[in-house]
This record gives sequence, structure tokens and C-alpha cells, in this order.
Amino acid sequence: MTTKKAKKNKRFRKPKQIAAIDIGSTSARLCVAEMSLDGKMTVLEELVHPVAVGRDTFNRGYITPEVLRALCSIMCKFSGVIKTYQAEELAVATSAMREAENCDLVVDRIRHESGINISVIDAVEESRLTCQVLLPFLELNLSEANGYTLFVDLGGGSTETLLLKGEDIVLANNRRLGTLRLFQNLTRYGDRQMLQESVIRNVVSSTLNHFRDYTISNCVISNSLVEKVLADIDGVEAIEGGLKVPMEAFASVISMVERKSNNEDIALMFGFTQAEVELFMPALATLERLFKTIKPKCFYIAELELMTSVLYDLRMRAWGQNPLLEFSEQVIQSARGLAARFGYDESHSIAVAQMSVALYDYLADYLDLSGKDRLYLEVAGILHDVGMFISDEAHHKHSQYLIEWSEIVGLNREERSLVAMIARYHRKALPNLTHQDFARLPLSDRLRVSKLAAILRVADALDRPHLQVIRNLKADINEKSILITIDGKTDLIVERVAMRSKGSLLCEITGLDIELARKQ
Amino acid sequence: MSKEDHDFGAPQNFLNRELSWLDFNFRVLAEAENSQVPVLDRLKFIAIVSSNLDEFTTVRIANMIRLKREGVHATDVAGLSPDQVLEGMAEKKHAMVKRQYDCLFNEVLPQLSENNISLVRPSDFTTDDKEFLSSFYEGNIAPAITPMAVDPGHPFPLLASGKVYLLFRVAPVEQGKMFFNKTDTVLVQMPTSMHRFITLPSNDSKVRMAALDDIIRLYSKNLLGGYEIEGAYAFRLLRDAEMVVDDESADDLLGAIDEAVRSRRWGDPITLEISDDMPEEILSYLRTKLGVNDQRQIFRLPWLLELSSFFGFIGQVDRPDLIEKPWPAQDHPKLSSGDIFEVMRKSDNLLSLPYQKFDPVVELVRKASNDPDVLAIKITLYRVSGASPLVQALIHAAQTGKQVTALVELRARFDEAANIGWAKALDSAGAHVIYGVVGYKTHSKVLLVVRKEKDGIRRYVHLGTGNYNDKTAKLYTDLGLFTTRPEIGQDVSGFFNVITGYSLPPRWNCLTMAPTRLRKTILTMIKREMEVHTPESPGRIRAKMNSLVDPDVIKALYAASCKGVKIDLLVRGLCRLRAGVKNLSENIRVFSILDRYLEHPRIFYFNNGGNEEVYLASADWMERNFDMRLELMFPIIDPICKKQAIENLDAGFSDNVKAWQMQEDGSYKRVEMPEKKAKQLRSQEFIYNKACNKTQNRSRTAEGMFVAKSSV
Repeated sequence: MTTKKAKKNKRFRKPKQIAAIDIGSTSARLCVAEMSLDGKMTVLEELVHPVAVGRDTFNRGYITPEVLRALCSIMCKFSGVIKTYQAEELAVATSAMREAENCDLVVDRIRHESGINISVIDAVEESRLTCQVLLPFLELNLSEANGYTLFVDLGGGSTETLLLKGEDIVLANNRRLGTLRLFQNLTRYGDRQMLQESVIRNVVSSTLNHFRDYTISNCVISNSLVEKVLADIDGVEAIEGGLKVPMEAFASVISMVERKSNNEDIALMFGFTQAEVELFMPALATLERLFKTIKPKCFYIAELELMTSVLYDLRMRAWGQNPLLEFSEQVIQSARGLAARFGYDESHSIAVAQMSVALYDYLADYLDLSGKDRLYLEVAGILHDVGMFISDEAHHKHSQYLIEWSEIVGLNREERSLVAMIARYHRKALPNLTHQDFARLPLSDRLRVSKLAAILRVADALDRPHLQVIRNLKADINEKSILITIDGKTDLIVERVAMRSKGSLLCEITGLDIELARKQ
Repeated sequence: MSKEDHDFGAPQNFLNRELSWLDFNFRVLAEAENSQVPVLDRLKFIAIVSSNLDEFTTVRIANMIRLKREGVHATDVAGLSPDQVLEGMAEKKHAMVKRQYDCLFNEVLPQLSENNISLVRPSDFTTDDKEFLSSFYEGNIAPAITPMAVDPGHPFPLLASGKVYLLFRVAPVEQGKMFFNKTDTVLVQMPTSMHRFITLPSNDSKVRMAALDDIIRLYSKNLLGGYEIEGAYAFRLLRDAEMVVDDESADDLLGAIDEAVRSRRWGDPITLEISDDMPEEILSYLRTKLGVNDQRQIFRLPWLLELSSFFGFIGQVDRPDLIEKPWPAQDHPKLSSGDIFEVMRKSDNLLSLPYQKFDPVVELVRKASNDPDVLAIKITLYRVSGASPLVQALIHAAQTGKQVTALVELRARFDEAANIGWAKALDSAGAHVIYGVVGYKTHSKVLLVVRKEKDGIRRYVHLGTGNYNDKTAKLYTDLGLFTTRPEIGQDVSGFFNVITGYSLPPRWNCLTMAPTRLRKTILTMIKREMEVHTPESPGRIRAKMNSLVDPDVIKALYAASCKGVKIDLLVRGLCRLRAGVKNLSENIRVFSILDRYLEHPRIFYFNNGGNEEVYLASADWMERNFDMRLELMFPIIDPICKKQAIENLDAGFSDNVKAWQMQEDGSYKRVEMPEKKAKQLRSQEFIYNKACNKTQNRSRTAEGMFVAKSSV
């Protein structure tokens, strides 16, 4: 990311070649790039090979042998190119592969034939990758803009929407309905024209409903076909990394399309293949519908490549950074946006989250915690009480459910369920193998959930009165106990009582007593 | 009619491409007729006229005949039907052949005689000649020929295309004697394993040659036991050379072409050439047997058939005084000195063939094949000989484990057989060999070397207007760009990914590729020239190419001309555009240069409102190049190289020695040569002299200082 300044690193002294592969619903792409010592990336080669993964998955539910063979052959070619440059590679696949019943087998087959190991990423990880390239675009082109920005990424397999304020993510939404899937589904039911309109109307209005509480001031769209068409239209302005499109230009495309009677003519007009025009039409219709509702004066097209984002990940790895941690600010923003939707007690939750990570920083080594654990804890802290939205009673269980089934940009499903469980154990019952969700986790994750929940419980106890009186928390570990020292106008009576029950998990795990003291 | 509502596409605005091509060959013939040209060079032009005509006949005339046979009545863009074109072609070709033979017999051969080189006819054989030839026949010729008698048991054989045959009329020695298979016709193919012209013994410095046909006719007394010869007549058949390779369905393009090459000899008969002494009765026998029905395709020629055999004749005569002084190819001042990688890293360079040596291209591949830091070498090969040092270097690179990708275009007309052998060799050395792209002929000439260097990956690129063929590099004028610009390097990598089937066409930085975008780009640039045209800063287009055919581009050029854009074109061969027609193309001039070397580069210049753009390309402005071939057009960005390319154009348009200009009626007239030698400009000589100067300057410093050698 351009915002993150290159760290001086001593890990490599020569420019490094890196390669990213992205398997989408209609094509596989490879980008080989060179990162110079200061982190500047130069594209060496970019390859695009059409392959109809989505057609299989969205139609039949699995990837056919024919497409599997095609994938293997393409990956062998890509692998050859990568080897030429002796580049380090990272391959990702999105919804078309993810949703195929035989996904694991396909991944295994490809690995065996081409040596390329594909990570099938989930929608949230996809959002994170998208954000990683979207944020620089916003910084470049919309840094002056006020109000909320709606971002819509119209992919073949899914449509991703983000609501942002400046560069902070407020809400995220991912729909398993992309242009290709839309086309496939409609083909199945006949009378496409009519169905398409009603489906699109529903999709757009329900998506917008998600963001109903916000006034959308700016609109950023990502779709390569729409971009290709708009680039040649008069009045459209080329900007860094994309286009700025006045509504008149968009309207002229709509009328160009309306003047043609069939897809063949449209394909000819825009230089599309048949397959492309079939993806372009639903995308255009979706945008038309969207703009009818939010009525912007202009909108932006961002030229975002998932591959580029994967390359950023590779660069961070080369620098010894963890891509998710680099992204934690967005994760936290997204978690706060979610919590706000459920009307949380903001000051309490934030205080708990902050005290949790403060404790974490003192205890992590002792508890053998590291990496992303801190982020999980912070997110769990922010969200631990969202279950109150449903009912005060057993709200920790409601919290678990809500976290697990909501979207938090940057956390994948497994990670969300970890966070949900940490939040669940912030009160009442301790983690227990009779709890099915907990029992299903591997041992390492069970330990992690227990340790993080233990910290969260302590932090929650420290804001028992929900008054945020505690300042400057410190924790020291001595032979027998953990001594937590705090500032603030409190006599610690309520906290000590709370700690007696809520601190037990941490005592159990560490074998140490918990003592509270005020700073002298 | 106002200029605006001109129908630029009207048939009268176009010339027919076949007839235009024949006009080009007339210009070649004019060099044979040009008394200023040294006599052996004149003979060479006579041979070129013939080999050109052979290719034209077996491809273009054959194609027209096919169209006619298939019942195509549609007219071409000039409004002519296949039959009208056939008629026009036959008329021109007969006139051309007549002029060619007249020139040979009345001018060139007599002039050679004056210079002590004579082609001796049998009537002039001396006793010594006869003695020599008799034993030469028995010892060398007789074993090499195979008489084929035509009799009931041996029907008329299949005859190869383009080979000279002799037909012997024979009769039994003893009247009434019964033979098992009675015959009156024996066919002999002229042996291809020996020279067409045999040097006769000579006591002085005179060179005396005899034609092989004459010798065989004279000495073949005992072709067939029991028969005597009544007459012998030469003939030659040309067949349709179009290969039918169904490459859409052929999984194995290599095998399919192998097959097709073998069957080419048996394409439909097109033209029959006979010696003019052949009796009508024998001609009609041959026509029946060979199936040549069209009277227009019969050529009665005096004495010798296949005048392209004079190429061999010229090779056998060592008379430097009778050819133009050679222009030895010069070293490129930068590319030919020092480490080619280092030279290329410093700046872009333009190589001008054949004035400068082809060596830097070979050196780049050779050096790359031995360099441990080179990761990959990729190249397109079209019309390359197997002995080529390029191929050898590639094989070496592949054997030493480098990634070598070679696209070998097997469908280069008439070269297929040559290509197959070494393509297989390259393949088995471990290179990734691609035998063309289904449905498209790969015509672009591009070489890429990927090297991992201290500061990262660097790509060394050569892009040319001509093939990587060390032979044509000595005869064709071409330009080649050597560059390490990353934006071009990325495009070239992308291009290889496209032609190897690895990727869809990428977004190009600066290359333009056919078939996807080339025509559109050229049209856009012509249109842009119209748009920026103002009386103060007039639009200007200058272009050099082999052929100008594409109707869309021609119409755009007409429109630009009507707008006032000045357009100068150097079109060596066929040109369908009409130049200098009032209210249509009055701002267009078309020139054609015919000289020692075959003009071959494609250079396109657009003034672009003063922000000049110069492009080189592998493609002509032809439908074939735009739609059916993989071509590349590339910009010349470096200011020095750009200047060189513009100088090349300048020289061409200033030529007043070897240039022709198209007239309003489509015919060509020589550009008038000034009397004063000082005012004469022969562009090829001019460019060569420039190449010489550059080389001479090389041993001096940039400031012009001579450098003293301080150690041995």
C-alpha cells in the first residue's frame, strides 16, 4: 500500500521477483512483478487465460473434468513463466472455485500437475484483498471527498459492497450474486429479460437497504468490462488507476446499448466476445438500477486487480510483515461499524477492547500468544456485547451467533468463529468440551480461545460499572500472581468482586492469582 | 460533387492488385533493359523477372483460375471480375515475356558476347566442343536422366511443377517391326542435379557456355532401344502452388505441412511454356494430357525456358568487371563493438540492413545462449535457413538448459520444406517450439532475451521489419530496432504469451498487434492527422512499404488528401491506391524504388502537429497483414533512431536515379534523372555511404579525436 511506507529491510539485497495468480469465475490471471529494494513494483508479465470455472460451479455445482484439465494446463503454463523468473508465487481462487463441491480435489489435482498451490479464499479475505487496492485508489482520487462512499465490485461470482467514510470501512456486504451467476441462473429459468430486471431490482434494493442509515455521497465501481466500454466514451476522464464518469457518459452507453436489438451487435460495437457481452449486460443493468436510486452526479471506476493485492501480500511477506496485521486498522473499523449496527455501548466496548490488548501486551509472552491473536482479542472486545441487541439474557450466546454470521472485513470464516467464541466466553460458562463448537476446534485453537477469553473476562471485570474510570493499566507477573496496577478514581471494590468470578479462567490457565492495585 | 460527399470506395478509385503487381515486375524488367546497369546485373534482373513471374503464376493466377472455376463472379474493389482480371493478367504477362526475351537476345546476350562471354548454340559448336560434349554426355548426363516412354502400359506420367522437360518424338528404326509396347513419345526431365549451363573448354580467356537442353537434344540418340528420334521439344508446366493445409483441424501442423509440401507438386496445372519450335500437333497432345485448356496460359518461347536458371549462369562466371561494385556490409558503429548487452543498455540502436552487417542480431542470440544470467530466449522464425547461425545458437542455448521458445512459421510460402528439418532439431534439443498459430501466419519478427541482472530483470529486444534470415539480410533493405526499454520489453513478453497460447492479448504499452488492432490504429492515426491539420501546420504522412492494398486505409488516405494532408508513399510493389487524381488524391504521391537491393522496410511517419511519430512494422497495409497474420508495429522513441528512420524516408523520396512515380492513370514513369552527377541521388547508394561514414568514425572519439594505441 502506498500509505504504508517501505520499511528498511535487510532480508534481501537484490530486487525480488514475485508472482500472483488469481483464478476467477471466467478467467485465470497471472502477474509477475519485480519489487525493487525500496518496494516499488514493476510488472514484468501479465497473462490472462479464459477458463469457464464459474459456468461449471454456478450451473452444476462442481468443476467438470474438462474445465479441470483446462485449469491444469493453464497452471502448467503459468508455472513455466514463474519458473523463468525464479519468482515466489502466491495463488488465490475466489467464489467459482470456493463453491465447487469438488474444490479440494481440484486444488489437489492442480498442485500435483503444476506444482502450484492454490489458496481458496473466502469472501472476507477477498474483501480484504480488494480493500488493499481500493484504499490507495481512494487516497489518490477521493481524499477530498466528504460523506460516505459506496464501493461496488461487480464480480462474476459475487458482488461486494463496502460503505466507507474516508478510508475507514463502515459496513461490508457480500452477495453471492455476480454477473456470471446472474446470467447462468436466468438462462435456466427462461425469459431472461424480465427475470433479469426483477432480480436486479431486488438485489440492488436489498443491498442498499443494508446501508439505509447512511447518505451516500460518492460511488466507486469496479468491473473490467464496464471500464473497457466507458474508457472510450466522450466526457469520461482518465484518472490515476481508473476513470471518472459523469452520469451523461453513462447514460450515453445505456442508450447505445438500447439502440441495438441483440447481443451480437452489442458485442461488435464494443469489441466484446459473446461471453463478455453476456457478463457485461447484467453489470450494466445493475449499475443503471443502482444509479437510479442513489442518483450521483458522477461516479468512479477503479481498475482493481486482485492480483495486485496478492502481490502486496507477497511484498509484505518479503518484508517479514503479516498482511492481516497491516490490515488490522480496517478490521477494527469494520468491527466497530458492525457493533454500531447492533447499537452497542460504544464506550464500554472500546474500553474493554483497549484494556484487553493492554493486558495482552503484558501477558502474551507468558501465555505463548502471538501474531493475529491480539487482533482477534481486540475485535472480540469490541463485539463482545452485541448480543444485547437481541436480548440481555444469554447475550453472550447471541453475540457468538451474530459475530459468526456477520461480515468483518479481513476476517475469514474460521477467524470469525474464533472471535465469536472468544466473545461468547466473556461471561458465564467457561470453555468446555461439552460445548460442541468449542470441541470441534483443534487443540491449538481451543487453547487460544481459552487464553484470549480469559484476558477478555479480566478486562470486562475491570469495567464492571461501565464507567470507564480506569486509566494506565499495567500488569506485572511475579512468582505467585499477576499484579494489575491502575490509575483512576476508583476504590476497586466493584472490580475486585467482579474479578473473583471473572478472573478465575486466567488464574486457572496461568496458575497465578490476580491482584488489583492502585498506582501509588 | 463536393469533396465531402466523395464516394472514396468507388471502383474507379482503385487499381487491381494483380495488374498492379505485374506493373511492378515491368519495373524490374526495366532495370534489365537499362543500359546504365552492368551487363551481368541486367542478366540477373532478367532472371528475377522470371522467378517473380513463376511465383505470381503459381499463386495469384492460380488463385484467379480457382475463383473462376468456383463460379465466383463478384468483382474486386476495382470493379473487375475474375475473368476480366485473368484476361488483363494474360495480356500483360505475354507482353512482359516478349520484352524480356527481346531484351535477352537483342541486348544482353550480344553485350555479353562483346565481353567474351557467350552462350553457344549447337550450330556454332566447334569440333572440339562436340568432342568434349559427347564424352561429357556419356559420362555425366546420361546417367542422370531417366527416359519415360509413354505407351499403353505406361500412361502419361505426372509432371512436376516448374521443371523443364524434353519431349522426344520417336519412331521405330525398322519399319514394321513389332514391339511389345509401341510408342512415339519419350519424356525426359532435365536433370536438376547439375548446372543448367555447361562451360565449354576454351583456350583463351573467353567464357563459352552451352545450354543443357541443347546438349541433351543433340546427344540423346539412344534413349530407347530400337527407336530413332524425330524431334525434341522443351516444355515446362506450372501448377497451382496453394497448399491446402486444414490447420483448423490439423492437430499436428508439422505433419500436415510435411504432407502438403509433398503434394504441392501435383496442384492443378496453370501455365504451359513450350519451345517455339514445337509443332501444333504436339502442343495439342500436351494440352490434352496435361489439361491446360486456356489458350491464354500457353507461352511459346524462343529457345530457352526457365530464364531464372541464369542465376546459376551468373554464379558460374567470375567477372567482377561486369557487375556493379559490391557494397560490403559495414559494421554497426555501436552494436558491432564491445559487449552487446552493455551497448544495448546504453541506448536504443537502429540497424540498417543490408548496408550494415546482420551480425549484431546473431551476436545477441549467441551471447545470450552462453550467458549464465540469461533466463530465457524467445524468437519468431520465418524463412530462416537451417544452417543459420541463429538456429545453431538457439539449439546450443536449449541444450544448456535455457528456456528457449521459438515460434517457427512453417507456412512461409515455398520454404516449408526447409523449415521442417531444423524445427525438429530445435525441438529435440529441448526448446519449446511452436509451429505457428492456428488460422494466422506469424509474420512479426521479434527476438527477446530475458536476463536477470544485479538491479533486476532486464529484457533485451530486437524488433525488425525483416526476417531472421542471414541470406535475405544481404539482399533486402530492412530496419531493426535494438532496445531495452522496459515498456517495450513488457509488450514483447506479452506478445509471446499471446502467440504461444498462454494469454489473451494484454493492454499494450506501445506495440500494436495485428490482427486485433493494427488496422484500427493506422486508421486512427490517419484520422488524427486530418484533425490536427491546419493551413499553418499542415498534416503530413509519409510511409514506406512493400504493398498498399487495404481499401479501408486507402479510403482514409483519400479523405486525408481531400482535407489537405500531404501524403508521400514509397510503395515498392503493388499499390491499389491511385495517386494524384483531382478531387481524390491530389495531395498523394506514390513512388517506387527499384535498385540493387529489394526495398523491404515498413516505416510510417505521422507529423502529428509537429509532435512527430515514427513507427516500424512487419506489416504492409494489406488486408492479408491486418487480418490473417500476427504482425507488430512498434514506435521509434529514441530521438537519434527516429532521426535515422526519417533520413531513410528522406533519401527514398529524394531518389532520382532508381525511382518511379505513379501517374494519374496508375502507370509508372521513371523520376527524371538530373543531367548533373552532383544533383543525382540514388537512395540505396546514399544510405550505404552514410553507413560507411558511420563506421569510419567509430575509431575516433566522440569529439573526433583519433586514439593512439598505447599497448599491443
